[in-house]
Amino acid sequence: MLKLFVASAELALPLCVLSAMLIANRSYAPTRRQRVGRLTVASLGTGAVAAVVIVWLRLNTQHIRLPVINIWAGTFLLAAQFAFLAALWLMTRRPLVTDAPGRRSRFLTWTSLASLLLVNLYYGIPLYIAIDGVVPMNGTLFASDSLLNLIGYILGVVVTAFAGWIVAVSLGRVPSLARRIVTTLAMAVAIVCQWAPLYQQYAAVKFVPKSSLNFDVLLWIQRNSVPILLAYVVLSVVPAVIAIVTRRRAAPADAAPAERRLVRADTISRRRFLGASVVVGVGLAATYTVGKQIAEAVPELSPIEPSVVNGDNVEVDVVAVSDGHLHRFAYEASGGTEVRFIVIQKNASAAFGTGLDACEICGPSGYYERDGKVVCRKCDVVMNVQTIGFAGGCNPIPISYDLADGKLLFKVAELEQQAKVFR
Amino acid sequence: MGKVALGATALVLALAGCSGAPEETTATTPGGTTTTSESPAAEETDGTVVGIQEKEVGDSGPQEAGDYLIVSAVYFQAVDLEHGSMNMPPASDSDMHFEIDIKTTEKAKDIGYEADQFMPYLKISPKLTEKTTGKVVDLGTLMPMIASDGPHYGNNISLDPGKYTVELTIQSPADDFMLHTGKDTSGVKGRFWTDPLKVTFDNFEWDGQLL
Repeated sequence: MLKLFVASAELALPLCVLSAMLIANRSYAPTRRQRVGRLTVASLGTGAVAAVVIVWLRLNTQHIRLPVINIWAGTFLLAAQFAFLAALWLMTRRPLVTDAPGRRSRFLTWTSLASLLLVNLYYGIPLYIAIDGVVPMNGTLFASDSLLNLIGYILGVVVTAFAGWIVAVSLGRVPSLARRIVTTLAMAVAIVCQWAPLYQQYAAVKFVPKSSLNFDVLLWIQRNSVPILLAYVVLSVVPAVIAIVTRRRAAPADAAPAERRLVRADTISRRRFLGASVVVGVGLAATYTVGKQIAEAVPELSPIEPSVVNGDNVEVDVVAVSDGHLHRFAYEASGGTEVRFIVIQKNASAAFGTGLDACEICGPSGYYERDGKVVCRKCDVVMNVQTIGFAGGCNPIPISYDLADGKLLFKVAELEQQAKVFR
Repeated sequence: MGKVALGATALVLALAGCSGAPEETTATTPGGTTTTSESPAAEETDGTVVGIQEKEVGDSGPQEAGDYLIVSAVYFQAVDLEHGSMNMPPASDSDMHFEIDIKTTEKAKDIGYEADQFMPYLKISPKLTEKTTGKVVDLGTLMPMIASDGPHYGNNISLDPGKYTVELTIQSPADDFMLHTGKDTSGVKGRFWTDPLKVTFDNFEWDGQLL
C-alpha cells in the first residue's frame, strides 16, 4: 500500500502542480467564464482520457510504442509550454479577468489550455501505467493485497490533486508579478526535466547526435528525483504564503460593514489555504523522503533457528516448522561457510517446501515472510509457496529432505556441495 | 463529455499512428561490418502491430565468445512470463526485459551444431559495473525462455539509470549436456570449453525511461 501511495504521489505531483498553475493563468471576460471553464474541463479530460487509453493499449495490445509517443507528446508539450510562458509575460500587468480581453489575453488562454491537455497526456502516461502494479503477481484484483494497493494508489493521487487545488486557488490571489514568477519557475523545472529525456529519445531515432552531456544531465535528474519533487512541493506552498502576505489587511475606515466582512472573510480563507498548503506540503515532503525510505527498505532476515548435526544429517524438529511460517536454519560447512536453508510447511499438509536461502538469479540474498507470503529479499518476487522445492527462476534452490522420527533430515553432503552458492 | 471522448480518440489515433514509426538499431558484426536495421521482437503481422523494439545493450555489437558462440545483448519493455513452477519478477515491477541472444558459429559444427542455432543449457551471469559510481550490479543467472523470435536467455530486471559496462560469464554446458565422443559417425571431434567464457558489452547507457 505504502509503495503504491509513494509511487502515485511522486508521479502525480508535477501533473497536478503544473495543471493548477495553467488553470490559474487563464484570462477571460467575466461573461465567458463558463465557456472557458467548459474548455478547461475538455482540455484536461482529453489529455487524461487519451493517456488512460494509451496506457490500456500499451498494457493489453501490440498497437503502442511508448518511446515514440513520448517523442511526439514531449515535443508538442515543450512547444506549448514555451508559447504559454511567452503569452504569460506578454500579458505584463494586465488583469487576467477583464471585460475587454485582447489578443494577448486569448493567446494566454489558448496556450494554457493546450499545455493543460498535453501535461495531462505526457505526465498522465507514467502515472496511469503505475496502476499495473496494484495487483501482485499471481493475485486477483479483489484480494486484500490488491485492494490495499489500490487504496494507496488512489490516496496518492487524491492528496496531490488536493495540493493542486490549493495552488490553483492561492495563485489566483497573488499579485501579477509574483504569479508569473512562481509559474515560470515551476515550468522551468518541468522543462528541464522534460528536455533531457526528450533529447535522449531524439538521439535514439537518430534525429540528433548522441550527447554525453545530455545523458549526464538526464542521470543527474534521475538521481535527484527527490530534491526535484521537493522543489515542486515548495513551489506549491509559496502561492499560499504570498497570498497571506499580500492580503488586504483592513477595509477603509468609511467602508460599509459588508465590505469589512468581505475583507475579514478573505483573510480567514487565505489563512485556511495557507494552513492546508503547509500541512499537505509537509505531508508530501515526508512521503518523498521518510515514506519512500520505508517503502523501499530491505527487511532484515529473521534469526537462524536451532538445528542439530547428527552424523550425516542436519536434523530439524518437525513440530518447530509445522506452523505454516518460514523458518531459517544454517549449517557451517567445512571452510567456515554458513549454508543457510529454509523450511515452510505447505498448506497444512505433511509436505514441506525446502531449499537454500538463495536462488539462481539473486544469489544468497535470502527470503523473508511478508503477510504470510515468502518474498525474495533482493528482487521482491513473491513466491508461490506450493512451488518452493522446485528448481528455477527466483525459487529457492531446492534441497532434499527425509522425514523420520519427527525430524526433517537434511544431508550434510548436499549442504557441503551447495556451500559454493554462499561463498 | 462527447467532445472529450472525441478529442481523446483523435489524439490517441494520431499518436498511435505516429508510434508505428520504427526506431533504428545499429548492429556491428564481429567482422566489423555495421548494419542498421529495425529489430522488432514481435513479428509484424499487420499494419496495426508495432511490436516490441529491441535496443542494443551498449555499443559493442554482437561479440564472439570462444569458438562456438556469437552473443548479442538487447533490452526492451518488461514482459510477463509464463513460468510453470518458477517464480520470476513480474513486468509491472521491472524496468526492462534483459535478453542475451546466442547463435552458434560455423565452427560449432565441430560439436554437432549447425551454424546460427541457439545453444541450450548455458549458465549466463551478467555483472554490470556503473562507470561513474563503480557500483556493481549482479543479475544472477539468466533463465532460458522463448519468445516469438525464438529462444534466448533473459529476465525482467530493475536497474538504476547509469552508464554501465556489462560483463557476461558463460559457463560451459558440459555438466548438463553430453557430447557423443565415440569413434563412430555420431561422434563429434570438438569439446565444450572448460574455463567460463567472458564477454563484455561497453557503454550501456540506461536512461530509466519507460520502454
